[in-house]
Amino acid sequence: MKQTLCFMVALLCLGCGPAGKRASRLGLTVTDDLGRSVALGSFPSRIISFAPSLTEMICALGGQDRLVGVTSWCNWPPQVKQKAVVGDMMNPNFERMVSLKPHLAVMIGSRPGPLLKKFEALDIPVLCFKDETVADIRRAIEVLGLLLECPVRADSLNREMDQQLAVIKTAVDSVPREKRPKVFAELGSSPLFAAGDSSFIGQMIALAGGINVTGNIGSSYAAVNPELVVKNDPDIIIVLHPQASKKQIQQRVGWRNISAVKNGRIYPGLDQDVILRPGPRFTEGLKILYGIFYAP
Amino acid sequence: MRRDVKAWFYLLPLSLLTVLLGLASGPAGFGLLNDPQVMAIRLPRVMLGMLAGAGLASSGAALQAALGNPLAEPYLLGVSGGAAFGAALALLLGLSAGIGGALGLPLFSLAFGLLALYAVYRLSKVGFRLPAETVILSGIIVNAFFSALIMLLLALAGRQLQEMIYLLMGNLGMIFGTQSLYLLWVCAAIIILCTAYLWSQGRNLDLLSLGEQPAQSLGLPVEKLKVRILVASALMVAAVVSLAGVIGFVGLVVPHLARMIAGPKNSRLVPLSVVLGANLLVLADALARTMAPQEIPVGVITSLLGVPFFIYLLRRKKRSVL
Repeated sequence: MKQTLCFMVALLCLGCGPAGKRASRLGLTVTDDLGRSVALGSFPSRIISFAPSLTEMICALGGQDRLVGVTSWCNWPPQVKQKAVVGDMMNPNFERMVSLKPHLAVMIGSRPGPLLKKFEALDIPVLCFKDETVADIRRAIEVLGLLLECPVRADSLNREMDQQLAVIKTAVDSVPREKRPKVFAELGSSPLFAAGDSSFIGQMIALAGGINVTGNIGSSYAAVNPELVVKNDPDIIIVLHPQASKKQIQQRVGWRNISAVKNGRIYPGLDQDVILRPGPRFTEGLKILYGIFYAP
Repeated sequence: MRRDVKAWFYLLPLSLLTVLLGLASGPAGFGLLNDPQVMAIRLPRVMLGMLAGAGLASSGAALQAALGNPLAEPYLLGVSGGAAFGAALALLLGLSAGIGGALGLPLFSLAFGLLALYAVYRLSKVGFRLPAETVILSGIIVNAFFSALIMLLLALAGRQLQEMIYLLMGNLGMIFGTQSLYLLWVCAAIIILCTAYLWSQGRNLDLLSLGEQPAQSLGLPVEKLKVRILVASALMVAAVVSLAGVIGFVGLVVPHLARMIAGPKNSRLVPLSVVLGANLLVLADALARTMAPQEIPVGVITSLLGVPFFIYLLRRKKRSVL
């Protein structure tokens, strides 16, 4: 990865000046998070984003004009709602995509799937990014910065994230582990859906100084038995879906004696996009979570 | 001693044991008296397990007798497909969350379960008769239709997708999401009344298994009886689906198991199926709750255990059972 980036930086230096034209003659090769090498004729000016988090990154880097297609889940920044919609991960509309004549598609995934193969079959150059950790976010921003010809802006965006992360980390590090609140993140109420430590929200909880009570459920996300929550007795319940109100959660059978319920520390109505989306706004989500955990 | 009396002698203490085991097992730890709040979560679930198992098994037993087909079961008749579609539709329309929502889903699944049954009835009626073969065939057709509709809903679903899939897999844990438990009492009333009716028809079902024409010539109102049994079964299945989703194989396997123990007499078969079905589902759910930290849908367990068991039955008792 690093080598490729260096190579790309070298290309960019050569291309300074009338950048686009020079690069188009040189051509550039990018290696994505799956280790695939993708050759691009030039810096792409027609990009399809296949994930809300990538859409946010591209716009945060000032590349919204190069964005020609987004998913139906993309809702931030508000301007992207005016872009052509090419379906979503479950229902991709390839006809629409081909008609947009994209130079590049960017998507999320940790292994090559049918979607990726379809892009390849249609001869649409596609880059696949991982979105499981903060490091993945940083790397995606770095690569997108190079593709959008704004590596400096990407660097400052990453540095800004690092700074905010460091502020929260310092605050959290001063709290001994036994004083950190036990947190249950509810992702769905019927069935009760929870997040494991390996999920992005699991990492967010840890970074914001909470202890995830369903950390060891064996997978990133899973339906769990409500008695597991009773047993692990969370101090705080964060509700990341619109299906249940605070009152409904308080009235649930058998949940009366949970600390979070007794003390009224149930938090519905949080901005799910900011907290659950592994995009450039995740530090905002961290601040919200930290606020809930330590300044109720 | 009669074989089924002997079986009851063992079954009743075993049932008590099953209920205790069901109440004692779960991810919060094995035990009955640790935490009354955990018991408050487990009790409705065990009750739903008993009701669903009993309802599915007794309707299976009655349908097998009434349609003269050993492969008849509630799901074959399309009722479960209709009920599941109704439930999924209620979820998609947001009826399960809004005001008065607790009732929306069960009413929808009941309505579509009955609609499916009516469709089967109209399709399979030949003149004034209701031949068993056409009933099964129409059931399969109606089921296929509702399966397609369910696929359509799954494709249209956004946020509700997860809930729909768990409903279709069959999950006793759904009772936790239900806001109030009075639905459990409604379901209990439906299942107890319908089962009692089926039991009371045991003798008539025996007559029916002689064949439709002999039964008719003995003075049995064959078609009327069949319609009533179909309606009673459909009501029970719809009640079960609305609370626990689609749980397969209990209705098919349990009556055969009961027949192995008690012989073919329906007045003995129905109560035995009720108790066996209740036990089986409570045990399967106890297994589903403890085998992993995640929630495993009980429908998966019953199918995984039911299929090999059914194959075993088929091979062992090829002649005497079927």
